[in-house]
Amino acid sequence: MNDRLPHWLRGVLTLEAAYRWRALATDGSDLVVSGATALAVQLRHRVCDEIVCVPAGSLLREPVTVAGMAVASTDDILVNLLWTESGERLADLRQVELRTPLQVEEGLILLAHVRPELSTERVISELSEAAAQLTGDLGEYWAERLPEVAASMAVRGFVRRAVVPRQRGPVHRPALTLGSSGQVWVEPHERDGQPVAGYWRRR
Amino acid sequence: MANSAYRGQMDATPEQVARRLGTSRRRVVSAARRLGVGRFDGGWLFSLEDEQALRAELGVDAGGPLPRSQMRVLAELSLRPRGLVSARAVAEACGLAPATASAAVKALLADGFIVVRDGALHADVLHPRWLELRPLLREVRPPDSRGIEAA
Repeated sequence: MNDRLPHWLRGVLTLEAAYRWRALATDGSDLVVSGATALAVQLRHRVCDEIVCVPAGSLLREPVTVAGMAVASTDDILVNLLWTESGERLADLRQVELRTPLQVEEGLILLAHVRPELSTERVISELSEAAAQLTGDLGEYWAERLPEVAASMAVRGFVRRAVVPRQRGPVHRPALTLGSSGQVWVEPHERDGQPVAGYWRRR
Repeated sequence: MANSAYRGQMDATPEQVARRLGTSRRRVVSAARRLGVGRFDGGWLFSLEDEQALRAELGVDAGGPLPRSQMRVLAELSLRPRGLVSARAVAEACGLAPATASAAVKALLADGFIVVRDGALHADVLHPRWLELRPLLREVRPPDSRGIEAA
């Protein structure tokens, strides 16, 4: 793997992280890029300054190959984000909810498959503690969202869910794509006073 | 002419609302009569507020490869880490009639989309067709006006 990294990939990695990526790819590493790094690669929502890798054996879904390295699926990334501590965890989880069809509740179901010994309540409580320290949009988002998540733990009854915006109408978000797909990401926004989730559209 | 321009800019027809909610024109008009929303001006017209009321009453169905009731049940179970305890609980959570929910649960169990674990019904998120269904399931919304709030 002596080629330069793709332009878009260099855009989401710091110089050091990009150098390490190339070094791992050149060595033919069988590790899988996961966590915050994989999320930055999948969503391209921020610059990542580290390369988080995990062994290939413990994944729920088949990873994709990007520039010589296997990159974990969004399902595996979400599970990883739920049980590992990191400074950007809640910001990254929010981006997962806004930009993909995944939500924390489904992540908790997936987490039970990977780490059955972990208590779901404990994960929610840790997220709540971390969210209590937040301010601004992110703090407001999780202050509204985490009660929904906690209510979803009930085994009966109706749960009102209003925080994660859906697209209006039966127009479906295309699956996330990697590389140059010819599509551009439209950020979540408001239209006619209604929240509209982020989506990909043609240039 | 003026009426059609106004209609295009401001209000939605029953067909447009039905398309956005993933349901039929008949259900939209029936719900509008029941709720007393919309106005009849040679044809039904719905403002944004009317549409929101209809959305809360009817929920949103995304369509997809499974029947509407099954999609609604799967959408709800995919957001329940501990599952739902019975078909009746599924009906409450999804805003479906108990008989409809029960039939949907049976069909989904037979197809392997639902599994019974620890005495509760769980969505099998590792089902081979799950990734195909997931984006559609996230567009589904149960009606706001039904069901018993979870404790």
